[in-house]
Amino acid sequence: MIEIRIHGRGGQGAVLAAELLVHAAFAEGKFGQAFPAFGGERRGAPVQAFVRLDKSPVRVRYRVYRPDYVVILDRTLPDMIDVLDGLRPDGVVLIDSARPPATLSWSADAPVYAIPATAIAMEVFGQPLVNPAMLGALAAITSEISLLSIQDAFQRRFPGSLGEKNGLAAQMGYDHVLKPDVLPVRVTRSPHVRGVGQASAPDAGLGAPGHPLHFGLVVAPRTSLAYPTGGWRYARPAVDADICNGCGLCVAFCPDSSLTIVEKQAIVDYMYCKGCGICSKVCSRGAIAMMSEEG
Amino acid sequence: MDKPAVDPYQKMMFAPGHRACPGCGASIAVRLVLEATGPDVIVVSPTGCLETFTSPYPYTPWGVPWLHVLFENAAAVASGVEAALRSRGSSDRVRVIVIGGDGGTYDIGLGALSGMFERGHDVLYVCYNNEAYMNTGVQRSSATPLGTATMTSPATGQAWGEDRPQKDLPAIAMAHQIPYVATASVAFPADLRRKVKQAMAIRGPKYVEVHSPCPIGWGYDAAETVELARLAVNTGLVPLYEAAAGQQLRVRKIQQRLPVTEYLRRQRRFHHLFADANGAHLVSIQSVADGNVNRWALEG
Ligand code: SF4
Ligand code: SF4
Repeated sequence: MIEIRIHGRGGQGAVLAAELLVHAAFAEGKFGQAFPAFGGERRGAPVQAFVRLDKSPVRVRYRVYRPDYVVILDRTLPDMIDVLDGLRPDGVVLIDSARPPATLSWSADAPVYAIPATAIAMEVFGQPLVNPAMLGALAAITSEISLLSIQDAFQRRFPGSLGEKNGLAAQMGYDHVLKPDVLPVRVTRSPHVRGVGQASAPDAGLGAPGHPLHFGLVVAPRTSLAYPTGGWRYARPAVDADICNGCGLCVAFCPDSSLTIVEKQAIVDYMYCKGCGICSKVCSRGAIAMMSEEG
Repeated sequence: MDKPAVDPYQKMMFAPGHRACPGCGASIAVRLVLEATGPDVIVVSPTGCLETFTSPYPYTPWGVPWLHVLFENAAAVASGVEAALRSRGSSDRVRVIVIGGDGGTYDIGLGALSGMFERGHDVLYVCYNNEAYMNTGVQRSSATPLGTATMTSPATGQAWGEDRPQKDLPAIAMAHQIPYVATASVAFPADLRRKVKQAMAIRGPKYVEVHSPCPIGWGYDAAETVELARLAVNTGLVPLYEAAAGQQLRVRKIQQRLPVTEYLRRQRRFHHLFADANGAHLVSIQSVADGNVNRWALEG
C-alpha cells in the first residue's frame, strides 16, 4: 500500500486531486481511498487530503500519518504547517514552486521535487489550477499510477476541452520530471522553522491543546489571537501613507478586525489580514492597493 | 508597516484570528453589533457559520461571554439566561443578545424565537441574513430570495432557482407587537450601530436583521462584499426600516434607485436569470423591489 498526503489551501482543489487519483487507480484495477480533513477553516486556509492505493482492498480508516509521498499545492504552506510530519525515511515530496526547494523553509530533511505547476497552469488555463500538473508529475515519480489513467480521470470529470487542457497540463508536469536535469533536491531542516502547528498554543490552562480534556470548558477571551490567519492571504493591502488621511472608513468594514488608525494612518495587521480586498474597495481616497503575495 | 505599540486587541469584543472566509459579511456584522452594545453582554448563538468559524477549540475570537447552543433553541436559551440574570438582580448591568444566521432564525429556531417575543424577555435577537445555509455548502432557507440558485434550489432544466417568495421575518416579528424591529445592512455601519444602540436602550424583546453578503454562497469576489450589500439596498431588494409595536417608524430613503439587474448580474447565484428564456423571472424580481419601494415609501 502506498500512502499519499496532499496539502493545499481551501478552494485550491486538494480534495479533488485526491479523488481523481483514486479514480485513476480504479481504472487500473487497483483499490484505493481518498478523503479530506478540515475543521472550521474556510477558503484560503490550509487543508489536507489523504490517498491510499493498493492492489487489494484498503480496510484502514484513518488519516495518513506516515506518507510515502507528500504533495504540496502551494509553496507558502511549509511556513504555515508541518507538511513533512511523519514522512517515511524513503518518502518523497513534490511541491508547486518556481523557486529551488532549498530556498523554502522545511521542518525536516527530505528529497523534494519542485514542480512549476503554477507556471504550467497559467500557460494552459490562464488560471492557477495546479492539480493536473502536480498529478502528472506524481505519475512520473511513482510507478503506481500511469499518466494515461490520470488524464482519463480528468477527462471524465471535465468532459470536452477543459478535460483536454487538464490532460495537457498533466502531460507537462509529467514531462518536466522526466527531463534529465530534474532531480529531487535533498533539503535540510531550516533552523527557524517551528516543528509543528501554526502558532504557539494559547495559555488557556485546562483544555489547552494536547490536554486530554477537550470539550465543555471555558476558554480565556480572544485566544484566537494565537491563530494567525494572515497565512491565508493571496494578496496584501498596502496603504499609501501620503494618500490616507486616517478617516477610518476602512476600519469599519474589515471582517477580520485587522485595521487600526494610529496617528491618522490606517495600519494593517498582516498577522491576521486575510487579504479580502474590501478595505481597498471602500477607501474613497484610493489609498489602499492590493499587491500580489507572490514574490 | 509595524504593528502599533498599543495592543489594539486588548479590549476587542470580536478579535481577529477567527476562521471566516475572506470577505465574510457576517464577521463585519458581528463586530459592528458588539461595538454598539459594548462589553456588558452575553451572546448566544445557534449553529451556523458564525458558530463554526468562532469555535475551533480552544481558539475563540469572542471578548464577551458566548454560548453556542442548538440550531433550534438559541432564543429559548437566551430567555433562560435573561431570566437567570433577572433573578440574580444583575439584569441592569448585563444584557443578553442572540446572534444567529437566517437558517437558525427564519427556519429552525422560529418557534423558540416566537416564544421569546411572546414572553417579553429583555433580549436583542440579531439575525445576520446571508440568505441560505452557507456552513453546510449553500442550501436554500426560507430567507433565500426569489430566483436564487442553491444546492437545493438548483437552476437546471425548467427550474430557475428558488421559486417561492422570501419569508418576511421582520414582519412576523412586528406582528408580535414587540417594542423594536429594525433591518440594517453591513454596507451602512453607522446606521447599523445606531439601530443596535436604539434596541439596547429599550427593555423587552427586540429584533434586528443585518443583510450580510457571503462571497462563497453568492459567488462574487470577496472584495465586493460591501458594494453588493449597498446595491441590495439601493435596488430596493433590501428595505432598511425601523418599526415599533407593529407600526413603521422610519425608513432609510434610497437616493438613486437602480434596477435589480445591477445587483443580480454580479452574483453567480443569479447568472442563470440572464439566459434569454429567463427574462420573465427578472421582471418578477424587479416587481419584488418595486413592491418594497411602495410599501415602505423608500423613494423621495
Ligand atoms: S479609508 Fe482610506 S483614507 Fe480612510 S483610513 Fe482607510 S486607508 Fe486611510
Ligand atoms: S484586505 Fe483589508 S479588509 Fe480584508 S482582511 Fe485585510 S485589512 Fe481587512
